[in-house]
Amino acid sequence: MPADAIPIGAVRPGAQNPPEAPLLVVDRLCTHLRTPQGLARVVDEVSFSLARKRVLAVVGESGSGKSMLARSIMGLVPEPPGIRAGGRVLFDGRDLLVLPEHEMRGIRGRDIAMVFQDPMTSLNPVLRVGEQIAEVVRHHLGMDRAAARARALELLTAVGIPMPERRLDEYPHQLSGGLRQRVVIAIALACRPRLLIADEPTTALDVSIQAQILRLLKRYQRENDMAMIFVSHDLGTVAGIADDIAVMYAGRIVEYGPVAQVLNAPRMPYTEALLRSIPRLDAPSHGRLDAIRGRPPLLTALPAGCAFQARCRYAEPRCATERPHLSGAPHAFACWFPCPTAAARESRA
Amino acid sequence: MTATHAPLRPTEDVGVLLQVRDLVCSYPIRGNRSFNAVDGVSFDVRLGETLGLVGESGCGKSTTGRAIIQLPRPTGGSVRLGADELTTLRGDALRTRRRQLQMVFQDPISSLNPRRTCGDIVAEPLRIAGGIAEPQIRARVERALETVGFDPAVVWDRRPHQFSGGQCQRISLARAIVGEPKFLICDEPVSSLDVSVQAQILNLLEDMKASYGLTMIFISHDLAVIKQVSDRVAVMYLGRLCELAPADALYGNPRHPYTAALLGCVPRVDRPTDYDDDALVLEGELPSPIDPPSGCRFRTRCPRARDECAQVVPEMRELAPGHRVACHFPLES
Repeated sequence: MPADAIPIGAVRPGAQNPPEAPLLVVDRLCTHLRTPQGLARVVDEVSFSLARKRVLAVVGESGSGKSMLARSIMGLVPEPPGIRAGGRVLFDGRDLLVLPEHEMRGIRGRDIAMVFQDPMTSLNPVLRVGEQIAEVVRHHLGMDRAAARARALELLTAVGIPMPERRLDEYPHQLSGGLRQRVVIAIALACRPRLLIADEPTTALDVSIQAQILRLLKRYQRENDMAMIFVSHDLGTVAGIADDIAVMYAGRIVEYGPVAQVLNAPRMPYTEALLRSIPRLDAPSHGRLDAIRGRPPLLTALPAGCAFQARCRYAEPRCATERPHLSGAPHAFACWFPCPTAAARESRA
Repeated sequence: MTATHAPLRPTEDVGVLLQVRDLVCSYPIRGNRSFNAVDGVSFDVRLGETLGLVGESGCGKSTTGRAIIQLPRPTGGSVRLGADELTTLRGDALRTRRRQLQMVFQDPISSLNPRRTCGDIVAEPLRIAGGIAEPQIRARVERALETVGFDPAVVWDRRPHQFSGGQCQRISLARAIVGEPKFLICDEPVSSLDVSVQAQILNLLEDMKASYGLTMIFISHDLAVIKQVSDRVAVMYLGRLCELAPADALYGNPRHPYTAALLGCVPRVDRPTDYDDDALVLEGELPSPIDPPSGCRFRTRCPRARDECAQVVPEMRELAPGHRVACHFPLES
């Protein structure tokens, strides 16, 4: 493996990382989509590593490639239109991208599980809740009917569903959005996965239900030493749940680091702009929000330099011609003219 | 302002543009029953202010907004715009009043006709109103498009599919203000947009409010967005108002346990949620609005609930000037 292949997150001085190898290493992963407008680089040379028991948040706006990254790791990008354009996804040392489909099926749902945004479309509408959970444990763990049903009941209880015995025999449409998402989580956790990929798991839920689901995920993650990739557009959510954060823009990671450091003292101007554009509870009414001008570039026609350059308030001529690469540890960013560090900000203030 | 617009007459309450009293919106359901999506809501909107309407799904905030423009007509209660009682107006009389009331919806793409050009979409309210010559229509549409940040010459002949979601929402806003309404109801206008685009639209709304002298109701589930745009905020839960107060008072000093709980649930960058702290999470599911709890509707999830809450419906009462709360045991100030 080249020296720059395990770039960040693997060794974090001062953090309580186990000395063993990371659970997941994503190495220069590229996923392209064939579109009528040409080839779209939806995931473009993305590298990171994830240690056991840690939570990595992947944030970005629509079209930044965060969901495609999650699906690429799971091998869930349909081909066509998807193209595996290169890179490796090492899970426990095995490259998932070259694994035959039948072996991948043994890993998906068992070692790596996924939770999607919309609980209604991830559940089978004509199958009872209990059967959907039992299906997973029967398939992966070879449990018999009775044991699988008992496990399903145990899981429904664990994810905090009231009256779990009754819910086992109900259909998804009989449940509220929050309960459905708990069922989806129960299915995901059924085989005690070592990695959970949650793609906007609370975006469709009301704020009070969202808080319950996040608490459930966070507590389970910690108590069971599970690693998690948490995909979200909401920086506030991420602040409470993640250890590390990767900010994506136009298919690339543009900033990466410990969550508090990145959110409190972003170095990449895109992250800073994103933080400034969010309305805040502690700000007075009718203040001017710092909107980001323009729109993200088309993934089919990425500019030569930095993809954010056209919208960046600090852009210089170099940004238009030379592409900055992600560098720095533990806090990495891809920018020629980064925002000042926290220390520099303080000394100026 | 053209002749087709009925002028607003001042009400006895000086400065109140819209008065909603005991609004009830009832829908029939199976088994010859009905349920009240909005159940006795009263508030005023003052001239030039923005009233934020916030709550979770099923609280009746969108139904309230639609009942104000009489689409559909509320089952009970009164909606007065200036001196006009909208609930009893019919036909042309209602149509002319309604021009002063415009609405912007959440999904900017489905609220625009995909086969019409941008210019036609924005001009349509003026053409339907009638009595305006085409050159004047053109001039007013151009002004509306410029207000929302477009170059009219560039976008005039484009169709909705050639615009992004944020741009479609700008077109919806241009269409809403082109007839120079007095009152704008925005129903989750930024909820489907990315934060960077959301910020552009929220800034734009403030500009439009100033340049067209608008009074607004802004409906959203997002407490931070509501704080950003509102002068006063009303919190709804299962069809009823819980709390209504100036924005600073409501956010700084919530008196209804639901408002406080909701604020505690908002994930914040400046104060990351500690998921070990159970106090920050509002327990339980939203009860069904079809069969709401007796007494106070929030009592099933309320940490302060006592016997009285199950028996007596709490009325809105004024705890501080302009700060009204419907709770038997409000939080201390």
